[in-house]
Amino acid sequence: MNVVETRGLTKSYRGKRAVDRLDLHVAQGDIYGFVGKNGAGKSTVMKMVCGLATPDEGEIELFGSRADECGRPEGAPRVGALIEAPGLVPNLSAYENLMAKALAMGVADAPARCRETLALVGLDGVGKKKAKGFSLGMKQRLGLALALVGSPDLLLLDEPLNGLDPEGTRAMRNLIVRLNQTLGVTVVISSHVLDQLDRVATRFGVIAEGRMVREMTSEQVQAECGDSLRVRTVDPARSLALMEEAFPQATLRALPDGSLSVTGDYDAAAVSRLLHDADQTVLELNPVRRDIEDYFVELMEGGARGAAGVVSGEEGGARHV
Amino acid sequence: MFNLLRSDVYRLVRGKMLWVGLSFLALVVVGAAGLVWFATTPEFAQMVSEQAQQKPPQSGMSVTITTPNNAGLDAEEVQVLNEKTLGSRTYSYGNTFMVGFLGLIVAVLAALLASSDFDTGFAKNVLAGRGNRRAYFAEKLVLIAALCGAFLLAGMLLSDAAYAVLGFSYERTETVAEYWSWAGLSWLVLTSYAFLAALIAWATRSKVAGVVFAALVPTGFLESMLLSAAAVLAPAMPLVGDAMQWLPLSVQQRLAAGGTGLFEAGASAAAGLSPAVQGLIVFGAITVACAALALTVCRRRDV
Repeated sequence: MNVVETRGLTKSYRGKRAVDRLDLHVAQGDIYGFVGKNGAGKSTVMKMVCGLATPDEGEIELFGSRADECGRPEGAPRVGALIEAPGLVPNLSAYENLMAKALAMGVADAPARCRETLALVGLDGVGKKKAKGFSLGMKQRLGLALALVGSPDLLLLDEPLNGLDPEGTRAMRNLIVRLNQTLGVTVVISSHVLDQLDRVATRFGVIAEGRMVREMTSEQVQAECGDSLRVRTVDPARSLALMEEAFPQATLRALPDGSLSVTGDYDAAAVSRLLHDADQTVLELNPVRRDIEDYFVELMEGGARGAAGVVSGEEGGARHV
Repeated sequence: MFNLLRSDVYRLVRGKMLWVGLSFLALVVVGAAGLVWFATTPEFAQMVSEQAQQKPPQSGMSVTITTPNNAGLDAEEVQVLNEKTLGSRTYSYGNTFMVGFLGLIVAVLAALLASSDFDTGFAKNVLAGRGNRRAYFAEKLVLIAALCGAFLLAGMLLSDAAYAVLGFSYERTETVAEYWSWAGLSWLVLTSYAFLAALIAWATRSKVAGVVFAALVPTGFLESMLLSAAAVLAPAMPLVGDAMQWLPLSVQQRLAAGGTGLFEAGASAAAGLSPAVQGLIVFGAITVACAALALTVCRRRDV
């Protein structure tokens, strides 16, 4: 079942489309990495999903029911969110901040639940220190704790790794995985720290200029972004034709410098043997590791060009896998 | 909505805003009562008496007691002031803190309360997950109205206590109905100003706008200027003079006279209505309009 599904979601600010007919699919149990440049529309999408912003057009389904602005029905699955700033009351302590939210949500046995949540994010030792005196990392952790109040079934985290040191980043990452694996919380997480996102996400959505460029599983990302083989021969056209015929499962691309890139299901030794048997003069046969950031940037830029193409009347570049 | 109210009360009690507001109120009520007491001391009477017998000095400061219509008082009239008596309890409330000051406090509090959730981002925490926005705004309005009641009661109690300690008595005693009707109308006055301030803070998402409104309108500053302008225009345009009688400040000034004449139309009545009815119409309309706008227009804005 899809926990979040949007269809044709559109939102404009002062005439400019921040989100443009976006379709998003988050399945139950996913850690969904939401990737996009600054201003791509990630936060706006998250705000619409959790009800902080109203879409101009389109539909949002949460847990199989259409979401509207009349509020969450009694007994419906809960949504926790950390979007943009953590939303702390500066003159209250961490515990008091959690209590304020727990009381607002009508959480039963609020004091005990708040203490548990503080321990979960590693803030149980801060005592009565006011939130305004917290470091950026502590504020982020308290923001996550606030999102966790009420035991949400869906967690929307917008740049939760911002301001965290390496230790804090690792702790946050582990916490997200633990919430997902032990409590079954579905997580949508946006981050610019793509290598960190790559370590936790089970599914990805790439957004550019308000449009969904592509949704894919982490396996697909690994396959496309993982090891590739760079092949340079005297006759690249003939080599490409030979490899297409011999390795139909592999993805083959002709690169601008005349070399060929082989990704997906291939065997380097078999490629070498094929080219040798076909009397192809091999100038280079080199395994290449592709950087995940380069991969996503390429996708985002491709998506942006596609969006520009649609605006100017060409065919769009978004596709779903 | 009850949960939201519990959360807000929790934050208010642990924050500074409520206590600073109450301390400020206590300071003003005690200060005002102290000034009234000073006016009844022999030292003050002597100052006024000396001033009445002497020609006004060519330079420097002097103390002059005048009636509201600026007529000077003679020594015998000043002597009457030395008696420690006040018109009535509601009259003392009206003249100690009700006109201007309490309106300012509750309007500032309402503006800060309405904007703080959006300034800190706490509103996102409460409303994320499709929390009911209508319930959120309704709860804030209920809280603001309750705070207005609490501040009014605190002011009344403080005023009673301060004048009792200073040995004052009252010339007239209102009936229970007059007393609580006056209190109810005063609560409505405060609530309408506080709702207006909250509405401005919500509409602009700026606490500064709400506080500026609180400084200009509930204090009577803006309306006093309007009344002055209207006084110039009224002889030529009687309609302007009539309209000014419906300004909130005009109605509030009639309420400040106390609870004893609350249900009497009197010679200065607007459209033959008593201050109670006029107050209900003017401030009731403002309160209902503000609540309706908050629950419809403000609710629709993105968080």
